Amino acid sequence: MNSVRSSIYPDSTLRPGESQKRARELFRSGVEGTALNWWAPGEPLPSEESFVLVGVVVWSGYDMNLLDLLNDAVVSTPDRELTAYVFDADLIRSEAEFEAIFPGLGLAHHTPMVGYWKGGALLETGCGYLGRQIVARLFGIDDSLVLKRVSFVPIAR
Amino acid sequence: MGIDKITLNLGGEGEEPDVINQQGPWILRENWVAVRTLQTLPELVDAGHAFLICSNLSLPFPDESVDTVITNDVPIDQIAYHGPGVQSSEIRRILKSRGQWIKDGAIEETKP
Repeated sequence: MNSVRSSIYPDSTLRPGESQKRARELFRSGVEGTALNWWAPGEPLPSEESFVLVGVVVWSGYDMNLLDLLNDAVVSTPDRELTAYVFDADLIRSEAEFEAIFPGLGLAHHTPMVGYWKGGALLETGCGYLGRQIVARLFGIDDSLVLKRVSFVPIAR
Repeated sequence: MGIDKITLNLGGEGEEPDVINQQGPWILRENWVAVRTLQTLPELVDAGHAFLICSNLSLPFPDESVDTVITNDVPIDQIAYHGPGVQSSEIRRILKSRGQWIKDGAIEETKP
């Protein structure tokens, strides 16, 4: 399975800030190298009948774990009529911007910010723990797995 | 009674024992909960966790006054969705000589 985390953190010799900056630069290509789809704030919402939009950040081991679980779930059940889109939540600069994407989300205190659309209507939205639970339920991922994180401990420097 | 050693967890939510958890002002919002435990700020304080609420841009510690700085899953030298992230320059400023920055469970730096 392709891992977003391993593809956007290829160089363990960088300092933390440089490493995160590089990860953000590679984020789109890292997601597009998986079975997940990229979305960018400002673009129209996806046109599929059913889709889930997930806003995550590259510096969260919990978010990186979630993306890998989500990718595994999509790959293992390719005929699921539900498409997963991912965006960089750090591109958002205000709560109003999150609210415009996910009406009813409320305070976006933690990633992931998640919305589930069906037939053009936003059926469910939530962030942080609740957001991870929405993703887990919709994609058949074990609840306990989405509470784990991947490590950023460098292999060598 | 003085404090022997100061350990500061930047962006901490009570996941490390015996530290000062630093957070931005967003932690004061009504529906904020810790990402790992879903505890509210009052619940974390009741459980014995100490919190310092301040900007990441200017930590209220003198130069070379902190023994250990911990960072777990936080933006570093980045502008994040909730504002400026942890500043590595501030970490290096407040660490004592031989003080350590522990990032995600591993020693990131030991100050000369």
